[in-house]
Order: sequence, then structure tokens, then C-alpha cells
Amino acid sequence: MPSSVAPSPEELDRLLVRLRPLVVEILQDWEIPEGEAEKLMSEVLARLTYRWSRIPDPEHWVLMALEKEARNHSARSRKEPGDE
Amino acid sequence: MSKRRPDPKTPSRDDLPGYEQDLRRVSERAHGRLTEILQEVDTAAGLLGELLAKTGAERATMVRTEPVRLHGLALCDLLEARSREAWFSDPARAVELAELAVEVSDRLDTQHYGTAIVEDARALAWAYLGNAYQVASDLRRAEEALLSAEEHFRLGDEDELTRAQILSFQASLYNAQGRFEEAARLLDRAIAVYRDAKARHLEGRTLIQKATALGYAGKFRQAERLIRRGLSRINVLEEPRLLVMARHNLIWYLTEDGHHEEAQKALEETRGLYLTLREQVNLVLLRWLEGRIAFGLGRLEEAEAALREARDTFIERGIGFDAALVSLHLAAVYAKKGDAAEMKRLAAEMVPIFESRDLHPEVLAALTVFRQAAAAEEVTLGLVERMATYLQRARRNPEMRFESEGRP
Repeated sequence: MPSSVAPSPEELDRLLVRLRPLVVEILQDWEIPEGEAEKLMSEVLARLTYRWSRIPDPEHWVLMALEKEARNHSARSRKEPGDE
Repeated sequence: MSKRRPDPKTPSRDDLPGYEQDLRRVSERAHGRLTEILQEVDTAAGLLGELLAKTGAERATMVRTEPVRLHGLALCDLLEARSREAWFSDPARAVELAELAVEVSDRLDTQHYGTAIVEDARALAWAYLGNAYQVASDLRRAEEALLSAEEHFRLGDEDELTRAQILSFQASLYNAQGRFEEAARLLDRAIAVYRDAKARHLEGRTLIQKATALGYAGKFRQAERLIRRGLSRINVLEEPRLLVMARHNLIWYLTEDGHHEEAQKALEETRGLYLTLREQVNLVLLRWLEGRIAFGLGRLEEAEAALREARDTFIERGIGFDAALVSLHLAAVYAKKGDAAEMKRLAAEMVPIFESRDLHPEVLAALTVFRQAAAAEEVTLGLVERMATYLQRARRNPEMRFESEGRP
């Protein structure tokens, strides 16, 4: 479990490198357009960083949070007028 | 990962976007955000020092009049951590610190942090306030604060770990209200969240919390099993006090369940932990436990000495409920010895306990039954044991009545 208040830049880089294939897979599975992916992933990473000391398994948490964001994004997109 | 694509005619991975530019920009933004957060943490530590150096009224004014400086999420976290530290030593201060956390969270800038993070912070701040009220025995306000926590939780991103924290505090409130089964059900949900999040220590802590709820309900066998599972998961270095509390409860349940030899062995393995922590409250609980085990093993003189010491300490500290309960355990010793004179003296010594403010009317009525029986030399071991069981359960359920033969 992370004990520091925030990740170090190196920790953050390592996490992003390790998760990259799974992150891309989630974004592709939910058909997130390029450009939108940045918004979603940035939101998830901001929350991760602020909650760092409370999150026991950051990699697991990022994947779960991104999955949820992508699912919500997909649901919102389908509801937009003209898409029905 | 399971497939979520709505269209079954899925193109091959090679045809899908690679998100190279998105992820590069994500990394750059994350680094920028990280620098801001580290600065905020430094600032928050200074602000906390300033806040704590002021009186209550000055603090509230400072939060109101310098909102820009106090728009700090990190400050909320620090206030909540301080509130948690004060739960057992100073409940009033725990409330005060949690109230400050709520006030600070109310002023967090949604433009800067984003709505999800701000609402999550507000949910947690209210949850901490709810628990602080519960610890301070203000159950009505605790309930209201926890409802506010839920409302803010729903406005945020519904982070599962925040959900589990709120559930855990709600379960503590239910325990305090005597709603043990409902508390256990809430804790099952929190345990599932922690398990999914691979939060092993928190899962262990919550298993121990559930065991406590079942222990209050008198389900000692189930409580023992849960504590053992919890103990196998907690990180001892992270929370040494939790280890002592869990071991203490385990030994208590073994004793209540009649496994006195096993309880004695477990106590010998745990004694060093009580002494290492050197906390007065744990040391008096240790004496109480020693007295109960000695009684169960038939070592009545040893039981009497230990229980008297525990009872005197509770009376000195004005802890009426525990003093009353230890007195009944002491009465069990005299009943077993057939010592009517000591029983009468004990009943007379219970007068200061009656003056304690933490006893509710039903408990006072039960203790009156005991005094009357002692005066008439009619106290039996069965009566004492029934009363002690009643008192243990009535602690968390003020409506509960003691049903004696002489009372309708």
C-alpha cells in the first residue's frame, strides 16, 4: 500500500509504462475516440494522484477506474441526440 | 479483460487507434499535476499547524476569511487523519477536527480539482464527522452526517474505496445503536470492496470489525473465526493497536465461549503486546480479561484481585458501564465462593457506579435488582451471569430490558 502522499515522477512513469497495453486495450474495447482518451485518462490519473496514499494497489485501481470512465463515456455517447 | 464492444464485427487490433499522442500528453499533464500536489501538501502541513495553534472560534474564522489559502484537499486529509487519532483519546477534539475538515471541503475549488474529486472529498469529510459524532456518543448527529456523506458520494465518481469507508462508519453507528446484524451486512459489502481492490490490510481490519459486531450479538464462535481471518490479513506494523484490540477480543470471545485453557494460552502470547503499547485503557482491559479467565479456571482468589483492580480503575475514570459489568463479574466470584458478606459489600460499593452518567434507565433498573437480591442474600451465580450477559448487550441497545423473575 502506498504510504507517501503522492507518487514520485518516476513511480508515475513506471506505472504508465507497465499499464500502457492494458490501458490501450480498454480504450479500444470501448471505442473511445483519439483525443477523448486523453481526457479520460487524465481524469483517472488526477484522481489517482490525489488519492495516492489511500489506494492499496494503484495499477489495479487505475484499470478499474478507467474501465468505469470508458463505460460511462460510451453510455453518454450512445444517448446523444442523432445517435439513436 | 472481457469484451465490451457493442458491435460484434470487431476490426482487428491493428486497425484500432493506438492513442500514442493522447498517452504522451496524459503523461505530461500528470507530471504537471504532480508538482502542484506536492506543493499543496507542503502548504497544507503549514496551514494545519497554524489552524491548530488557534482557538476553536479563531479557526472557524480563519477557514471562512482566508478561503483561498484553505482550498486544500491535502488539508482535508490531514484534518481527517488528526481526527482519527483523537477518536479514543479525545472524542470532542475528534469532532472539532472533523468539522473543520467538512468546512474546508465545502470551500474546495471544483474548477481546480474537478467535481468528482471535490465531491469525494466532501463525502469523506462528512463520513469522518459522522464517525467522530458516533465516537462522542452523539448518534443523531452521526446519522445526519453519514447521510450527507452518502449524498456527496453520489455526486462524485463513486469511488469504491470511499464507499467502503462510508459503509464501515455506518456499521460502527449501527453497532452503537445495537443493530448488530445490519452492521454485519454493511461490513460484508465493505469487505467485498476491499477484496476486489486488493486492499488486504483494510479487508482484515473490516473482518475484525465484523467480528466485533457479531461479538456484541453474542455470536462468539463466528466472531472467533472472523477475527482469525482478519488477523491473517492485517499489516501489524501499520496498526499495532489494531493487533492488540483484535487479540484481546479473540481471547474475550474464547473466554465467553468457555474455552478458558485456550484463552489463557492466547493471553500469555499476547501479554507482551499490551505491555509494549503501555496504554492505560489496554492495561485495565488486560486485568479484566485475566480476572475472567482465572474465574473460568476456578482460580477464585486470583480472579477477585484482578477484577477488583479493573473495577476500581473504571470507577476512578468515571466509566460507569464497564465498572458495572466488572462488578457483576466480581459478584460471580462471590456467588461461586458462597460469600454473602462480600456480595453485600460489593453491592454497597456499586453506589458510585449508579451516579455515572453513561448508564441508561434500564441498566440502572437491572442494577437495582442486583442490589436488592444482594441485600436479601438471594444472589445466585445464574442471576449474576444473566445480568452480565444482559449488560453486555444493553450497552449498545438502550431500549433492552433485563427480565428478572421479580419484574413484569
